[in-house]
Amino acid sequence: MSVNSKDNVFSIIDRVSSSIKNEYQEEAIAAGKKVIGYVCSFVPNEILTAAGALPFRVRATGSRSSDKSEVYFAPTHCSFVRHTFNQALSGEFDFLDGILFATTCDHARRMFDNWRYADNPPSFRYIMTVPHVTKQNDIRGFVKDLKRLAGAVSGLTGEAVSKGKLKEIIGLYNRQRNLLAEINELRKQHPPPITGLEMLKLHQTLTSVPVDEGIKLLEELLDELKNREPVVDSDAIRLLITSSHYEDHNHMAALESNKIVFVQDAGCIGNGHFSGLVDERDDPYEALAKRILTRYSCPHCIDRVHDRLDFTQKIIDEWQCDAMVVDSLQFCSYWLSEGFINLEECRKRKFPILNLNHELYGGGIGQIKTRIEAFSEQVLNLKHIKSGKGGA
Amino acid sequence: MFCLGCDVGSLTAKAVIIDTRNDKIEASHIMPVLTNAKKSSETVIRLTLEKAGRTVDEIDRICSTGYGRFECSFPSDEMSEISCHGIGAFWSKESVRTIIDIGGQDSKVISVDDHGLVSNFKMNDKCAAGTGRMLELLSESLGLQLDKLGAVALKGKGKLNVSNRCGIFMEMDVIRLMRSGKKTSEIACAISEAVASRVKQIVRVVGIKNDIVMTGGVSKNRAVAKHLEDILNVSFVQLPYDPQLMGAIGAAVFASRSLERNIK
Repeated sequence: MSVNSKDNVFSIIDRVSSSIKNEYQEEAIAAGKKVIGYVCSFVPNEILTAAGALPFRVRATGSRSSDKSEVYFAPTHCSFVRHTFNQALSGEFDFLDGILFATTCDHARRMFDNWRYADNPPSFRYIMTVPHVTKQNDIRGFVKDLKRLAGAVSGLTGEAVSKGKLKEIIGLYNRQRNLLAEINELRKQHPPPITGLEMLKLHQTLTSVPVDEGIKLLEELLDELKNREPVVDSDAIRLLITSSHYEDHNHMAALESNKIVFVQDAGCIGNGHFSGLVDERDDPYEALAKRILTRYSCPHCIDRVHDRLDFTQKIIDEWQCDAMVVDSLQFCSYWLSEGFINLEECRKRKFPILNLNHELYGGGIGQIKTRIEAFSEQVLNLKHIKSGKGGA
Repeated sequence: MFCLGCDVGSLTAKAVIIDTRNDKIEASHIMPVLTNAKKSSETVIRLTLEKAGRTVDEIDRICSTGYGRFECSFPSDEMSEISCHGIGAFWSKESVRTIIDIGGQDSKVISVDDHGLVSNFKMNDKCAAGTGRMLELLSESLGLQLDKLGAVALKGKGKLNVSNRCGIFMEMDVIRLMRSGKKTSEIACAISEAVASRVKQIVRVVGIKNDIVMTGGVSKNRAVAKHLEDILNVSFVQLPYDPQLMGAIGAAVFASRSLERNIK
């Protein structure tokens, strides 16, 4: 594999997101860079990049079973960790020089324990502590943890993380986030020029390639999208997807159609990873800590429920969403409860919501399609009734 | 004007022809599914047309529903079975607001508004413990024909328990009870109770609004219906047509509405 500059940006995104390994990693490895995998959106890519490493957000792409990892987990652990660890035990992550975890989710935490217990490569395994609450004291504590992380990663790569270098890299990541925000602005169009599945692939690509390459892809994509023909019907139902980890392209493809499109997300892969800028005027570690803990994020931060609800409401209003889908993984303790909070909130506001629960790479496409289609018919009826056209 | 609704489910295929001039059902047919959805839809539609004494050219519009709706052998509209069961039951009886549909592969609770349109719904999760397929397997284990299971179960006094957490656990419980010499009627009664109690969980999520009906193949099992009535403390309203046909009827109703819109 090699990076082909003549490739269409959509085909690059499709290729990179459909595989764990990609040509960008190969080039980085050939250039002597270390590739560090990480499991959670709370891990600051800026520090890894500033230490001269290539960050890669770990996913179970291509997994067809979790046979090998089943013995390490309880039946109530989520399918993301079972499939991802299965890939690890199968050698799919052997190209990694290090793997980072965060104390954000109990399931991922157990994956860290099992990774150590099985002594599975890479030998550099690190878990960073993330507070559940986001008061000043917690942010101060988190700054110390980020510095500890920088020291550990520097030990692996042999490159010190200077504040100047970190500030420079923060600027690059902010540029990437701004470009992504511009693409999200285009999704306000009726119909949007890009589907939810394509956005998922884009998010996966951005977390798999060097930040500067990600910026180039985003710039090219932005140009393409400005002139792109509609990809769905003009009156397609506009949905907000909010969820824990999701990555299965087939699952996403089953949820969308010409008549149903996701125009925004509030999940740990999209906005949960990319929303919010790091303040470039501030001390870089403090600025990173503030952004990570106070942006839109996952239910790990228990004192930010209202911020998350406000964030989703803002998206619903600005992107003119017709309804919300909470698509959590089976046994995801965070999102099962957050899904319920969303359900209650939507009920209060009389806003349509569908709670789905699925297993990663677990099939069941027929039932999922029935649910989403019935829901879209319900939403369409509501829209028609509101506009005085009557129901179906 | 004639509209045809075709519902290809996981166990049975159903079709209905509605005469839209007088809102009457002209013909209907129910059959077990064949090896693929296309064959099933083609056969059930042909047999329904034969009963009506019509050819497909005389049908003004077709709508298909159910798991096989995308593979209908004739050009048709598509609608999910949830919307179809909702409108089908409402069209059959306008007072209906809650539909408990237990089919071969899944169970659903559907709430409809004053126009028969879906206002809320909930489906079972992947497990087949509360579905027709499980009843079929368990009746085989008991050595009973499926259509006899309900009648036998009604003779039971409800002294036994069968798990409803998982289809396989249900089967294991049934085998254990059979080996310990329990009466077939008591085991059948426990099975019906377990299925009803499983469905109760999703009824509670959607809520109950009168009138309530049961649709789908399992609605024909009087024991499951009775246990559900007891557990939920409700009385099901009887529909004027075969409740297993509600999906196909709903599809035909959507076909006629779609036709009306096109004519206008």
